[in-house]
Amino acid sequence: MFNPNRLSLARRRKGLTKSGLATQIGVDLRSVSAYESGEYPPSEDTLHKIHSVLNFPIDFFFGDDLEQPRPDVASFRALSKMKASQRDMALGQGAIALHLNQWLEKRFELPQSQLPDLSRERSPEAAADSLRRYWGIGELAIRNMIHLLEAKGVRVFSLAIDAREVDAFSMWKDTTPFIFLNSNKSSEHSRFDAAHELGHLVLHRHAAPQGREAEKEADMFASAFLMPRSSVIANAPRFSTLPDLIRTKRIWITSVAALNYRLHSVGMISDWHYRTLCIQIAKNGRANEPNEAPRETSQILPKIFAALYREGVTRSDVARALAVPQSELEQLMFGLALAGIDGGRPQTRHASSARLTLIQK
Amino acid sequence: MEFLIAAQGESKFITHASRDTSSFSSSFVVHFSEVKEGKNTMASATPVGFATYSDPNDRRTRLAELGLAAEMLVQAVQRGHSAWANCTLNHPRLFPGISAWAEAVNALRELLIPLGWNRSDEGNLPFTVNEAGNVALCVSTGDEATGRVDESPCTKSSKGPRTANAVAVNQRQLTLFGDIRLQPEDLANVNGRMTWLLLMHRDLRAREVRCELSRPVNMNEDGRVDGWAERIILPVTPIDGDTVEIPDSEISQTPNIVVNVTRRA
Repeated sequence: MFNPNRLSLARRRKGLTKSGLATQIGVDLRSVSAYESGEYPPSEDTLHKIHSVLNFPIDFFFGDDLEQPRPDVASFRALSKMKASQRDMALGQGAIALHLNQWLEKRFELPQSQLPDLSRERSPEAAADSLRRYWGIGELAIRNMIHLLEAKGVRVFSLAIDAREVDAFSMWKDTTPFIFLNSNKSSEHSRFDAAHELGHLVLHRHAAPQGREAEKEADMFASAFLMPRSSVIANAPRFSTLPDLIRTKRIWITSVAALNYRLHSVGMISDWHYRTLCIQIAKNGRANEPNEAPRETSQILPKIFAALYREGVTRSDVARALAVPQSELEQLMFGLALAGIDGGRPQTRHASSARLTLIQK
Repeated sequence: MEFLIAAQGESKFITHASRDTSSFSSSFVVHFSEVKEGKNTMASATPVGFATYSDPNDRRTRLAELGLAAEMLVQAVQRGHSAWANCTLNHPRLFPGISAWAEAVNALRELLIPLGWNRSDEGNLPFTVNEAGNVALCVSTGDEATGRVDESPCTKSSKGPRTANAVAVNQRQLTLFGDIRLQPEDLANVNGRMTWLLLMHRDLRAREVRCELSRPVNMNEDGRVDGWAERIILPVTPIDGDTVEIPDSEISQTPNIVVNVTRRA
């Protein structure tokens, strides 16, 4: 049976309005509204047009309802600067990620959440400190944020949205935390986003994660989590100049701007010093991160897909099973080029091992 | 190019000094020949640096008499250093030094103008003058002895006629008043002022920026200022020196993480 919710999801995922879709498939707005409200389904001819415009397989529109992250559950950075269509595209990717995750969790045992509720800590800085102690990482700089998050039970996916306004968002789905990161940002920016979202997950699990205050708290959490106080004081330049910051930032793998902020907040540099550096950083262009670190990617996803591949299951098989375009899956996976997985059907080396059977709806 | 010359050296035409004294109060016009004589007599009579203040309390007292505090002077020098550090090999070679000097002058003025001081650009030499008009500050780069109590500094480059005049005026004050610790008020009656140089020196070997506020009374034959009636030694700013990469071994990072993924049966 045609599922109106899935049409709505696919349309929003592509950043289209109802009237935009109506024009492209050659029907009136009234009809699209009717398809999406369940009043009546599109004709077979129209359905094919929908398929070719939205680039989702026909099967996709006949599945069960998909879990969709709602705007009030997900916490967005820079929400105020985002357009509704950008937010919907991001949420649409989130829905596909939840769909994929459900499929994967049926087949693989993934780390359980080890995120405590830190909403009662006296400050975001104290919360960051508690979490570091709870995870036993003390004052160590974090080598890889995504791997750490994955090990602690967070499902991390990438958002492929070519909009600077969309940084990241996070949400709880029952007891599983999710973080979505825009992969078009610098590595340093993305690590800060990941820590910011982690802040929302531990600080605002039971409260509205939106609003300026919550964003500020998440920023303070991220700053303290990535750059713990004692470590910053121990490693801070004697007198911080911009080249010193560029040189020192690789300890914590943060942007020069974030390090400057942190040096100021721990009292290593004075107000005027902080402002002077802000001006110098701005002059060099905040978007161009000097000495950018290598990008971080998921560790879980390649492992899963490698395991599936050994069983003879390719990524396109998974896409077919989920009835989503393969490109949608790839966009969630940090553009990881997984050797051989995209290619033709592999030879199963262990002929005796049970093959996965994928059932299409 | 005129700016560059003025900034670092004012030009070396010391002999023109006498032609360029009209802007100074007539009682203190001193010709360059006198400056040279002054040096000779002083060199034999007294060691350079009559009074040096390095003890924090002495320093605070003397600076307060001039209406100043060490923090603001050091901040001006640090801001200058910060500008210097921002330059790369792609900047013209003269620029980093100029930019440090220019930013220190700018910072000094930004800090002092709210306190009633005034900007006074005389020729191409930027003075910052107190409200009463009897204390003038000028920023200059000093040699390695800058900020060292037991050594006597010298400006890094030759100075031009404006500086020569200021030095001459300072020197005349010495003979007129006889008191090393000249107070700004003493000069009010004679319509004169004393000029102080904020000397700064970046020592990459010692990994610090040193500075001092000193009252010049002698210029050597190269046109560099090298004799001081008073030296107020200011706090040192430690720096990291060269841009040496931090070795991986010195970074304490979390170990590599292995996330376990288990196939369900």
